[in-house]
Amino acid sequence: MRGRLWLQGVFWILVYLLMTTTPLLILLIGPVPPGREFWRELSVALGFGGLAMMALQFVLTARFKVIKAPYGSDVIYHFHRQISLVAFVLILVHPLLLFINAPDTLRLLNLFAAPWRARAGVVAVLLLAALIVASLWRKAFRIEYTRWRIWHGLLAIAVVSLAMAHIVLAAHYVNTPWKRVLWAGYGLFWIGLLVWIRLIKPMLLLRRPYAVDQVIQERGDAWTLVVKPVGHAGMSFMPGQFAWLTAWKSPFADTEHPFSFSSSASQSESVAFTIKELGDFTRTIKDLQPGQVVYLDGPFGAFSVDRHPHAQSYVFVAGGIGITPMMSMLRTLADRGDRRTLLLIYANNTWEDVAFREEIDSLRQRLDLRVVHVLRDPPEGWQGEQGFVSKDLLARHLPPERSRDAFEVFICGPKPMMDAVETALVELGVHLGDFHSERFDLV
Amino acid sequence: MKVRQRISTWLAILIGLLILALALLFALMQSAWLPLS
Repeated sequence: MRGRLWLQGVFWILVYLLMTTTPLLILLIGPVPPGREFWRELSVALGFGGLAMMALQFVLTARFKVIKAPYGSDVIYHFHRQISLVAFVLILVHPLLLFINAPDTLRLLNLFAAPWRARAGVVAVLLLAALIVASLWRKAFRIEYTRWRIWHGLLAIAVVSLAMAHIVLAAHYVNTPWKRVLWAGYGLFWIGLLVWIRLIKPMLLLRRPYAVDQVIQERGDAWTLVVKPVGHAGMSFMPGQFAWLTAWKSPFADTEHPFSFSSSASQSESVAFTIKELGDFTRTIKDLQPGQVVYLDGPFGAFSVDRHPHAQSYVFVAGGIGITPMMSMLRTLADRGDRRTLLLIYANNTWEDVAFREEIDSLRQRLDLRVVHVLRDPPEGWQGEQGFVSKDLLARHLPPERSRDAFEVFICGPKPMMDAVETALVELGVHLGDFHSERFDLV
Repeated sequence: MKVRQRISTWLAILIGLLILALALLFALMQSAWLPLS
């Protein structure tokens, strides 16, 4: 499985490279309009390249399972963020080079007097800058996540539409029929993606509703939401994966949130998510009523023991609500009667915050599971580990064997904990391919 | 994963550099500094 996924990973990178470079390569061949000065041509080429990269962002975020499978969703979203910054720099250089090369073009910034091609270009760059600033500093600006997501989508559509209009109105490099066909094809492909994301996907979700079955209070301000499929077979998932949940609104409203499954993958009649109260949406989970309709898009993610079936044992490192995907994996392994050696290192602030602690205790009867609780603020007389999940703590508890496939480590929790654990694992000689993290807090 | 994220950051930078190289080639050819076409 590992080799096949690796090949898929390389394949999609090559497809991405091809799609990003094709518009520029095609401009380079065939009949081209008379050349102009170097800096102006460089500026134009950077504009075309940046736009090709921007338009492909819609592919990255369209949640095509086949594309996400080799990397995992968090890596795709991280790449989406980084490549957007790179594309933004290229796009920004496009007008800057023009202004430096021919200062009289600065008059194009005057939206009242400038021709429409310039207006479209200037507004596209301004909106792109707003989009990027809002994404990088969403929390600093206190923009609520759902509102940010809606505006992110709308601004992205506006930016690419205006940039396309800018190219068509400038009409310099789309002067031959086949180049017009190419760019029309690019535009159609992009519109098709939008139709898929905004219309077809929500319609498909609407036809596969779920009903709330139970909402159960857990320790640590968390709630387990159990939902059942209505009129369809539900979804099968790998333990550790996640789905996007839409509650209170229609899938067309684009107000979904990602949550890991906490239920066993072996039980298909219902699925459960355990959600901590952390924001506006998560605080409404407890108010969901039995019978209320919700929608699920998934499963997604590469964070699963099922992706590493040949491991001799598994180690889970969870911090707080990061226990959710681990619970799914532990419950599934128990349902399957798996007898491999398991270690759960579970960090919390206090003993009262330890979600699922009774169930984890009872799972030890069904699994070869050792549990190490780590408390930052332990109760009096606490004999176990305390503080944070440090390198020393990991060294004390990890299996001594370090060969490939000896054990696979799964890490989920607050960002500082995950960073520290990953660094410690590398220092302890754990192979890079043998530990896996799930990160949701990307924006 | 942090390591994979780091790799994806480098991939994004490399793609940016590739586009920059192509844009330079394009500009050289179009401005007749590099008369290939």
